[in-house]
Amino acid sequence: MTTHVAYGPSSIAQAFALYWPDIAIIAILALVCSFSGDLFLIAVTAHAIAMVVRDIACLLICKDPQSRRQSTRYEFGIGKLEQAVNLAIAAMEFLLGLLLIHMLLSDLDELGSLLSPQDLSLIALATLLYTMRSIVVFIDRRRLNQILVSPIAYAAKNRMAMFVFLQILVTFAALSSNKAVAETLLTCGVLAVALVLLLSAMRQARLAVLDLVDHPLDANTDHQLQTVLGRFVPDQIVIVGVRARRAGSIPFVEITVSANPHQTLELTSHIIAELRESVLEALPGSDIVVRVRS
Amino acid sequence: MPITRQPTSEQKSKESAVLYAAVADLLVVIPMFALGIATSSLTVLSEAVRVALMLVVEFYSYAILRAVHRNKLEKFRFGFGKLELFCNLVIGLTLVASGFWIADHAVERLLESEALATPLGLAVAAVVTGVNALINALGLVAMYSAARADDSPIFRAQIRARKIKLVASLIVLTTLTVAALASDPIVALWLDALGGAFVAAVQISSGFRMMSESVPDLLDHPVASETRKQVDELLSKLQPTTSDVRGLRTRRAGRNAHVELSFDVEQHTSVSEFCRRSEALQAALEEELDDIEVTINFHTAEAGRNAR
Repeated sequence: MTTHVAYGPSSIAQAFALYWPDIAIIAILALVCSFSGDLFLIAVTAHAIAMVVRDIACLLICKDPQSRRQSTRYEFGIGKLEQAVNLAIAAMEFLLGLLLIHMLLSDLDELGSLLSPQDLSLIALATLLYTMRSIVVFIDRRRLNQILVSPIAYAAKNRMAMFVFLQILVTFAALSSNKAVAETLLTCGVLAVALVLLLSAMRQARLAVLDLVDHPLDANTDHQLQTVLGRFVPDQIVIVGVRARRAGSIPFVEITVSANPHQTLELTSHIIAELRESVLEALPGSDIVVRVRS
Repeated sequence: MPITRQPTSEQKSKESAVLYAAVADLLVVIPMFALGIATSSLTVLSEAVRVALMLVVEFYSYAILRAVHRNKLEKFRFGFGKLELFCNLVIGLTLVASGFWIADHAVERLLESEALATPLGLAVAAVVTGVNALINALGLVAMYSAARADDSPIFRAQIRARKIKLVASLIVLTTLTVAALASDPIVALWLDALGGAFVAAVQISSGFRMMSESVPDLLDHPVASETRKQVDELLSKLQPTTSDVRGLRTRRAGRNAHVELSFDVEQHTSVSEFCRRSEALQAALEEELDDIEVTINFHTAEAGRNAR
């Protein structure tokens, strides 16, 4: 399944109004990062930046379904543009993940050894700001679902789980009197962030690439479509060919039907309208084209 | 399930021409890399990187050509133009990134005035580059002899790429030979850096060109305004025989263009009459414009939006 989008604000001002708390917290995290130089905090900040960039890009590019379909510049809608943005963000996340692993490997001996318990406490407090924010977003997700793009609100749960996990690690590291334990906990945190970034980037890139290259629909969706078409057996037309692709959240379905040559287009159009309804039930929001042959 | 087919002897000869040229490049790129690292010559290293990246394009083109000849890309029901474009995009990005990497090293080397390559090393590098230039020339001759007027765009693109490679390798060969003969190490350093910078510039420009050609098509950009104008003119010319055009939308997918037309038709029109008109229009459009795929739908007055 690709990203499904409901409605989103269309201006930078609106996106800023929604995301200013995140931006402010990231600025604080970055400030603490620049003083402490701690890799764990760098990882948390990188993850937070990646999430906010993804959300804001998604918000800015997504319009309501109708305007997304009828872009003046892209006559087939901006689904592919959405996926190109997703691909660019996935590339950014992938590079961030690789950078974190590179930094982790090169700083493995020094990680945590330079940090005093006070430094660790400060890092734990700074991270707590973003953890609190992700918890608030999770609690408020139902309201946000109405104004935010649906996948952003949907992802709130996973995001909160990730930040709570990181918070637990850094809190234990700050409370631990054993330096080796603290170091191991922070290393685990950095590794977890890097892996999450890499996995999320690969998943997102795969979906984006498949859409960009006009790959056929995934097996489940294709099965749904075939089932619907298999059930649709009117006497007047015969389905002779189907091809489908996806561009972002919009599936494009092209059906070729063979009709009785002496039949009028009035009757044919009624049957085609029923066919369209059936396909729309299986694939809501799809762009359906029916070609008629005699 | 797509049915595969056996390629004809002519198709096989085209595949062989592309494959032999790619294998020859592969054989020369390995010593080029070894020499580049051993002599620290920027020109050789950058040329090796460029050849290696172009080698990826060659093997990919070979794979696509084989798949097309054997009907193995039927899974892509809307054509595999986008697949080609996406590969071009990735290769373009890699070319640009490596071009900047080489340019960065060339500038760094010049600023430090650090001549790492020895005259002997440069001479050996010049010999290897000479072999590369010879392979490029032979590959071009082989491709020309297999070429026909109706060749696929992939094969035509391969011939074009081989020509560029030949010119680039000849320039690199000249730079390296002069650098190897120069008695002053600073002159040799400058020539080596200039050779590297030339290859970097070629990489960056071809990378950007590949990217700029790929991105609009990948995003379902409409056809070029000239093509659109041609379609409009043709539709107005055929107007008496067609009904009113209700909608027209287009998108590009590599060398293919998809055009979707919808017409207003009378309710009592028969299916055979509609098909006769739409087939005539489709044939006229396909005759006028190359590599175009036309889809025609209809609307009846009462039912409104039906087929589309």
